[in-house]
Amino acid sequence: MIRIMFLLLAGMLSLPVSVFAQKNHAGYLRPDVVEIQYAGNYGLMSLGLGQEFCKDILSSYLVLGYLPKAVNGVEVKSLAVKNTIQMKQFDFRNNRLQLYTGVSVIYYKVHNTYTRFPKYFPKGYYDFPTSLHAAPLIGSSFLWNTTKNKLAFFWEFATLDYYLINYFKNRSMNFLNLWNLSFGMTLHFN
Amino acid sequence: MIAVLFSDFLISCTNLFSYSPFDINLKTQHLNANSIESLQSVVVSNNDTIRIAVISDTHNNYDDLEDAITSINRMDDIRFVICCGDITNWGTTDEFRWYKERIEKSNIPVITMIGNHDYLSNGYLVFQRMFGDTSFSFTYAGYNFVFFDDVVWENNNQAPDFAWLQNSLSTTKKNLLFAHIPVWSDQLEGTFAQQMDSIISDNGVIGAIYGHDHSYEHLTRDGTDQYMINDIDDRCFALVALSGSQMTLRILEY
Repeated sequence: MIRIMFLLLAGMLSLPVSVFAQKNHAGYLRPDVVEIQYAGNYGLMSLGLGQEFCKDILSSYLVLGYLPKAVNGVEVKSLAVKNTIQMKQFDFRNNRLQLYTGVSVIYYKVHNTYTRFPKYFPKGYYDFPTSLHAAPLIGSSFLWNTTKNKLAFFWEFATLDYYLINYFKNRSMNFLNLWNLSFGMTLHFN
Repeated sequence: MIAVLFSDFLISCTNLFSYSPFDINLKTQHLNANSIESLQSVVVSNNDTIRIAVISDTHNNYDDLEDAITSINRMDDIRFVICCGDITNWGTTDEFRWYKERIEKSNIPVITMIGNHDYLSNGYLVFQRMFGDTSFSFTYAGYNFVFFDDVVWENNNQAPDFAWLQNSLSTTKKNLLFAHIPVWSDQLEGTFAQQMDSIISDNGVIGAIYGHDHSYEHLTRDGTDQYMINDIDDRCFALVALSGSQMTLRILEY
């Protein structure tokens, strides 16, 4: 039940994107930004296509991630909707530093992980699909020389809905241990 | 402040760059083999009464697990701890790590079984890397401890390896069976239960202990005492005493 609430919250975060977006239909289809990311719950590497809304305060990405079997012996494929909201922006000289937070809803294609469990499981045996997770994140991006560059670097701390539930359930969990670090680059088209 | 938080994170974070919760970025550790080696390094008379603590279904109840280990540490006559599986909910590597961090606080060896939840995602592989084989046995103080992986549905609906069980039960030693799924549970219902019942009764098993259904149950099937024990969330564990061919079990709250 708590995980369902997390996912609903994640969905609600994407709501402002559709409500406040002032783009024509062609604009919806054309990505404003492309990101490439190392680590951070999606896989070894991930590629995202995004749109920015409300004077770039909100952004929404469709992210494809992949972890090849050669790295640690298991293959992970992921498809995510990553929504972020800008908390603070600092402009100094021609540089721009942004702090943002957000949440990704990630679908994983992994061995023995299910959205719908096979028929031999009794109905309700597992109360939630194991392939779907919400991943809260907090991050920062840096775009230098904004007049010339369209390339920004970012880092993010991310965790999982289930990990936060464990934290609130157990006093012995170390909060900082729930988070992982990732970094990447974004290329803005306008 | 952000710099302080960042440096705290770098220091405390055990897994800075995580590729996926379903990745298995850990080295082979053989925790069960190490525990068994540690146990067998101490000479025990076959006439001693052996007391062991059995816990099960720890899932994401890390505080309860930690308290159970603390409580068991205070008892000076327990030789080792057995966990009857379901140490995770989703089979993620982090969950296995969090369990391991708690059992490392035990003063005595801990032997861990796989449960059905631990099979989910890549949990089976994580278990193998962290603990070793999912079915295994060892002898201690004249008893043959047999740990049988009897998970069916999460194991791609495959039959448990009953041939392994048959071969692992000793004809000369007193057998004790540990498994996650009780023989009377829905996963084994039908021919699997019949096979397991038959192997248990034909091989002189003096007692069987299971987890899985999160509550206490005691049945005598074909003359063998069989117990299902509470999950750790009930804040209790089983104290098992072995003396000769007798196994007694009582539930202790902590």
